[in-house]
Amino acid sequence: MNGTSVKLEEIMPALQGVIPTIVATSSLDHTPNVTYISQVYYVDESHVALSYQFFNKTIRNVRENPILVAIVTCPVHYDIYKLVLKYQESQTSGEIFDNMSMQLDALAIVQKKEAIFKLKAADIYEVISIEPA
Amino acid sequence: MVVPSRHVDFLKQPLSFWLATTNLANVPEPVKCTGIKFDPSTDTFTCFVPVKFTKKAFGDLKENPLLALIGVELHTYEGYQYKGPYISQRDCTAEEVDLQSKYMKDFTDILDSFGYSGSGFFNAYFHAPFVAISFRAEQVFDQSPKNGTGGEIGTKNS
Repeated sequence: MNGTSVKLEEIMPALQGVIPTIVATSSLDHTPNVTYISQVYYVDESHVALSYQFFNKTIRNVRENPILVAIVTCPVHYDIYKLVLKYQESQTSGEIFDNMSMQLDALAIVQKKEAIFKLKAADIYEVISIEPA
Repeated sequence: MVVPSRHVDFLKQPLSFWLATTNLANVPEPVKCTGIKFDPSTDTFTCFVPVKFTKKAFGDLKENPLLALIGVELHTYEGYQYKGPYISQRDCTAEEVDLQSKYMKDFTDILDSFGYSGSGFFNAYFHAPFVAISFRAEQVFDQSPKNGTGGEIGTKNS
């Protein structure tokens, strides 16, 4: 990670999916896009996976411009962190996908959204930086 | 009008509002809004944001005057995104600070009802002073979680 003052391990409570994450992307013509996603999943000390549920503008943007900014909130202390991420690949099977799918199913039951909270892919991102927001 | 008329009432609810900018290097910046006002006669949004969160966003707007605003209803996840060109920014009036205080109270009451700490959210996001950033919506997108989400439902060309 470059220019990071906070380590991913230090913000694990903010990655549990308790409070939905805000993500912003940009198309190549400099048009911003902002939306919510359900999950930011810890992969290793320098990678996270984001849930890909719908083929939408966020997905299209990161395929042409791989930088994504996520705002995560710790549900215990309400600390806010800004993560600058770089898209690497999309996984549709394997351990990360299976674990995220299971977590998403649990969230869907809690939120009564079983019909629409289905994981299409686990998108893997390199963590470029983490800062308190 | 670009923004559908039924959104006028929708936008008066204590929705979760986030604004985003991006610079010419295409690095985006999302910032939490502590309330908004919408003028349907001109499709103009005025978004209230704590100055504390605006440093990069203001720099982005000098390079690239485009904004995106999302508003999501927390019970149903019904949400819409509005995009368009920046118009202006100014300090908030005392009346607008009161409006933000009421908005944040209503918003965090909903979070309390979900079992989160509303006061925790309030203290995390409500920081004076505030600025009012205005932009004109030229595109509207459905952001409700469903297959086909992201579809454009309003544009200045329609």
